[in-house]
Amino acid sequence: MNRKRENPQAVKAGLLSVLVHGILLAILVFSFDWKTVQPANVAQVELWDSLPAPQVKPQLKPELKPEPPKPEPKPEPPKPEPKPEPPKPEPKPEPKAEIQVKKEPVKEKPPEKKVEKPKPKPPEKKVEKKPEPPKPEPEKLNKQKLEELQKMLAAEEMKVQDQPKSAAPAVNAAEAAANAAEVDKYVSLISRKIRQNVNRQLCGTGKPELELEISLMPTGEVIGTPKLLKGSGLSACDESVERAILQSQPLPVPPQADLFARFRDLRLKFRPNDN
Amino acid sequence: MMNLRIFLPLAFLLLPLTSRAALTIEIVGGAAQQIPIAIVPFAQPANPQALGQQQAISDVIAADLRRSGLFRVLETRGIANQPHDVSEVRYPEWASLQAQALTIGKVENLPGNQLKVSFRLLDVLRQNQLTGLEYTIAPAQLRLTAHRIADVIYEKLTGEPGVFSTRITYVTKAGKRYSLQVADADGFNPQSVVASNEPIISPSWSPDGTRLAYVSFERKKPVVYVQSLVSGKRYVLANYKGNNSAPSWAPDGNKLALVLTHDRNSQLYIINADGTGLRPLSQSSRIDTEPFWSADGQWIYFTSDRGGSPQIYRISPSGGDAQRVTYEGSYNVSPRISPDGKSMAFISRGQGGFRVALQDLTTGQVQILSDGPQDESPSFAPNGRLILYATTVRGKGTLAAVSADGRVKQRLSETTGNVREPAWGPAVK
Repeated sequence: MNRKRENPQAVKAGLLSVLVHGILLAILVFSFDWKTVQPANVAQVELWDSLPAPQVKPQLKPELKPEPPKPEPKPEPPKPEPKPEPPKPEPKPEPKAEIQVKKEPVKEKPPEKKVEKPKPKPPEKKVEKKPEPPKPEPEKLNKQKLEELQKMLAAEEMKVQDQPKSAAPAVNAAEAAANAAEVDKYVSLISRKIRQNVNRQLCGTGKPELELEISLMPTGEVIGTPKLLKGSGLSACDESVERAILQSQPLPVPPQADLFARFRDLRLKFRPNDN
Repeated sequence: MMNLRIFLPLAFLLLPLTSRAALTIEIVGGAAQQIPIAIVPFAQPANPQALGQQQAISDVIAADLRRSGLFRVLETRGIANQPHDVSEVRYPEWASLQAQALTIGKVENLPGNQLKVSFRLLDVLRQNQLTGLEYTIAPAQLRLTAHRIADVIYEKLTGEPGVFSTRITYVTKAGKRYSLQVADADGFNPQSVVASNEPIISPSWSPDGTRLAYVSFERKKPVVYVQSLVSGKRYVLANYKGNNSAPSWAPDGNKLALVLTHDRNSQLYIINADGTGLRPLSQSSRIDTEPFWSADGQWIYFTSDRGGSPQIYRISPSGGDAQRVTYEGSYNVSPRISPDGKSMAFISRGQGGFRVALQDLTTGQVQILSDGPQDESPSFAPNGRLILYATTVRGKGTLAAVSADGRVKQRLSETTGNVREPAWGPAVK
């Protein structure tokens, strides 16, 4: 009796187990597949590796020539353009604004200062909490739109990754090189802009290292607040770095959707007391 | 069922494998030196005459923060909306002004000629409140309250205690009249402690901030006095044969180190705060002078020419051998130890004349902080961030301060007349 009662359970459990293992296997395969699908993009992946060194010159020649096109052509139609044009992060922080220079006893020019002001702030994203009644409506819309937009971008990105096999490798290489230069450019723009606002007076006399994570909207605005992954041990220092990031909004990000995808989630490493 | 429960979460753990690592950007160094802060003028009561001729509280706060060198106080007059309550704050306006922090507040009348001062410190970028406090005060305490608010703001944003509500002492000379004065750290509210037609020098704060020890020549020779700042009463601490000079309080407030000559060369002594229990500390055939007791009580630093040139040494308060501390240069005097015990400010004579120098007591590294050529009497702010000293501008003594990292220098222009011998008082809770 006992046996009989236990058996069906065991069978059921066994089935479930098989099923779950199947799912796991599927996921594994899927994820591996995903990676194997990438080779045509190898050049891009390589670029990533080169990024952490911020001052690295744009690698004009991708050292990794895209591998022989894998036989797996997915003749995808050209990527559907995401209809809502990602709002351009208009301010290319090149224009130097002299206005603030006087007030700041630093020799360093704070080039962003001007840029920030004219920026027509998208209706404040954070207002939700505030009881301020005026503009909850457009703001919500905005948010929805944004989410949609991001979803589309994500979808787009995947396609972009899956698809380029068909293209001629030479074209890909050139494109990848251009992309590399572009990514490098924005990495250094972001680094420079945030650096302007990092206050080294608040980080003690040691050599603190901090690491924060942010997520960006296509406009270069930070979603929510930065997440502290590794603190300096001095809360005033941690907070000042966090403020420096927030004050640097909007961060310069590439307007091209596929490139922006790289910048959506950023890890920022700070060494405020080094030079 | 069990399997599902166990494996589903595990399956999710695997999902991240399919997403890519985040792009990493390094930011090395920093170009900002100051925290941009906006301070909205506080709302005033309907009858501002109750406040007398006092400076607006927000102006006092702004001046304090500006003087610290760590803040850039932004102009707020151009902003149409001047909030006094959190509900009135429109953060984006302040963000577009480049403010990181915003201070709002108000002064209100209370029955019985009292005032209620309340303020809030707001984080403009994260749009939340960092702190908020309320004070019930007499109108005469308005300025002190402003200093206290500045202290709170300073500590909240820099992580270090503020020193705006502390006091300083210094000696002024007007004509033939010497006056020992105590003033707010910004030089306001100077009050004469004692005045004389003979020099007054070497004031030293008791650790609790209630008493000053100083040297007066009113008896035609240097005699050490201790005077209460509460009652104004004073007594002679040391009036021995020869010179009595250079008092320095022990951190426990019960003893002082000082210098006596007894008609011989200057030597260090320790004496109880009530003038009893005198005992010699150093015994050398050369001049030992300017003792300064470290905050941890472990050492007495002093100046001596026992090595041939004036250099700084230290000795245990219980005696023993002295250790030499300074080696760079041929003339180093007037040691003052930072509150954290890690560094020593002193006067060094070099090519630029007499200048304030700072020595790291761990590594021995020396940095010249001031410009000279006639700088003297360095003294640490209680938070160690600034060093107050006396300098000479066009033949007149004036007070100046330099940040301990040497980056910010300022003159305390509020102090008028010929000013010398400053000493920064302790932070008193």
